[in-house]
Amino acid sequence: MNEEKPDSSEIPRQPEGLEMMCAGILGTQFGRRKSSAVAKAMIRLRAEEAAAPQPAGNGPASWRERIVEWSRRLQPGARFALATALIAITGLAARVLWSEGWINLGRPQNSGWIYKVSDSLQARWAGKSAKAGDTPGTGWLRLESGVVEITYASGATVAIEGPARFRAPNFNVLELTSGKISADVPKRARGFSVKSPTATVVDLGTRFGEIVNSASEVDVFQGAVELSAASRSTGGPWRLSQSKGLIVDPLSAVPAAALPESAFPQPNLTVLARPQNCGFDVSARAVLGGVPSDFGYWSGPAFALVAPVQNIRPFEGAGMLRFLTPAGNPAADSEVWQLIDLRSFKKFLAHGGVEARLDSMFNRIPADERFGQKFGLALAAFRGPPIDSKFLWAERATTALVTAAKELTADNDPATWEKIEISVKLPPETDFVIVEICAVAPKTSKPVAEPFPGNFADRVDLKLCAPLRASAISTSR
Amino acid sequence: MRARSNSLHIFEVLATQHQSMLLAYLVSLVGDYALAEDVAQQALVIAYRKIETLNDPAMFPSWLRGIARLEGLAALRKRRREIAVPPGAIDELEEAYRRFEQEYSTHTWEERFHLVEECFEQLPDTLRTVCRLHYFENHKAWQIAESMTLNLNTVLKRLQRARIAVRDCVEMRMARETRVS
Repeated sequence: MNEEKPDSSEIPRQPEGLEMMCAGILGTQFGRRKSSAVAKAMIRLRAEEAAAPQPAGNGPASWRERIVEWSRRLQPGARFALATALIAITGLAARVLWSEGWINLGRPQNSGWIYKVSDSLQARWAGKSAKAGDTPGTGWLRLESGVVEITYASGATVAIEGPARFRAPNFNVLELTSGKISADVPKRARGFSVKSPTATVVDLGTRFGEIVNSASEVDVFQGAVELSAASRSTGGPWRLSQSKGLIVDPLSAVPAAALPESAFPQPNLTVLARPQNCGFDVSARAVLGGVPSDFGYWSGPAFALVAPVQNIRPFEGAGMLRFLTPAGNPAADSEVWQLIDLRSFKKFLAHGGVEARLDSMFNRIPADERFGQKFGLALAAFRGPPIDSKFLWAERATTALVTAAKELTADNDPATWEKIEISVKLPPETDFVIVEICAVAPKTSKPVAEPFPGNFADRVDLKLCAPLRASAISTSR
Repeated sequence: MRARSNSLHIFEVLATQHQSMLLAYLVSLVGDYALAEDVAQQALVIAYRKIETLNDPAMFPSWLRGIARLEGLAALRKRRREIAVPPGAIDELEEAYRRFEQEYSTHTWEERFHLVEECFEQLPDTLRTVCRLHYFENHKAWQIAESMTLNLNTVLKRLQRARIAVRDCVEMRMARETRVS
């Protein structure tokens, strides 16, 4: 074999300018390699021009524009006086409404119940029982085994694992004499507290777990809590932050490394894994092409991010996506994709049974059956890096871990947006998902030149939902 | 509205004239044709939006490369790819393109690229083959090494020798062109 001897002593050299230029020209096969970069850029630019607002003076201005224009004409002093008056009126109105009980800051809107049982898992009760949907009131309950999830009217959610004895004396307090719990407390329920015979935990916006037997152990998963002992001689109060734990018994308080979350029962948890620019409201990166080769941007053969068009206004925000006809192929569906990186949710997915819930809103202008009336939403989950995503998507029946898809025939009313929802259980090994929204081309023998005269999508939302589950690790503490 | 459509049409003509240059420049920068195409598309959209900031139309190619350079580096950062090309080399690349424009003044980029093709055709078979596989058929160096039962180092060496030979040939031809003109 005629093989050159590699010079191993040579330090790898950086190609200089002219050499790099030649390499780039070779990479395009001397400019002969086919490219549609200009064509795609022009489609985008034409769509932007078509959607650009008409010059002023062509029609009546909107109320918002009129108010802005009117406020511009005011002198700075008058503007300040007007703003002060508006603030004063708003404050006064809020005070009147509050004193009359029309608004209720920090307290639950629903005064009929304190908490309800929102889910349960093989729950066995001693004495009075409660099933999902029940509102048990303020009395004591004894859970012999299994797990229940209770949701307070304040928004706090607590998973309780038996054997446990508890009650909710008011809208943001749990009293626990024994058992294992974990609490997920949203901002609006900040101040939620758990009282045990040895300690009281006051939440400062967080997720935490507590084990109550002869002592109380509190472990913080996220955020911070304030902990005070029932007995003054024990000391405290203490502020615990993420990954910190404290064991409080009637005589002492001992810091401890926090137990993992899996040592506690877990309530239903939902995290958002929305696509980038999910509402199409900002002019972020969007590419006319095939399935994207990377995360975080929309790509499809023919689409545009637009403001209100004709009589269709966005479902939410200022923008929406308009499906256009793929160049030279009016019989093809107009598809748009995005790759969503789920590697940062690995820990969450590792619990198993996590469900991906994807939904999107669709709308269209009235048109007969010669035009696209259907929309589609699809999702496929994959393992590994997104290499050759076009192939992965095309062959998703065999390459994907799981897939889900749904179609909907939209009504002829541009005033209503219609929702497609799909859900699928994601395996723990999922690394990323490909999301597709599409306008389905009509299946006719003679397709019209422009099958999508006004087909739109808005607010694509992806949630990951972990179900209620029991603790996976038994603890001796 | 009509004026806008006209300017869009003029821009399309300009963009088409410089498409091959833009793609070659981006392939040099990002090292991947598919990514270069995505970035080129984005760079053209931005260029049109900013066209009013271009004072001298003769500067369009280098102005477009400036936009493409920023977009290309941003795309690499977003992909969390290591930026293999140091800033000094990017400046050298820009300088090489300027020289290519000035010293080999033809009407189109395709004609300039033809000069590179002629130099490529002069390479010995062994170098041409690895170049074809790597640059035209997107094979990675290790794949070429496997398929040709060669050492990986040998393949890398051949690619490097091919690039240097093409570069030297192009440099010589440009110098000759300058002397003739």
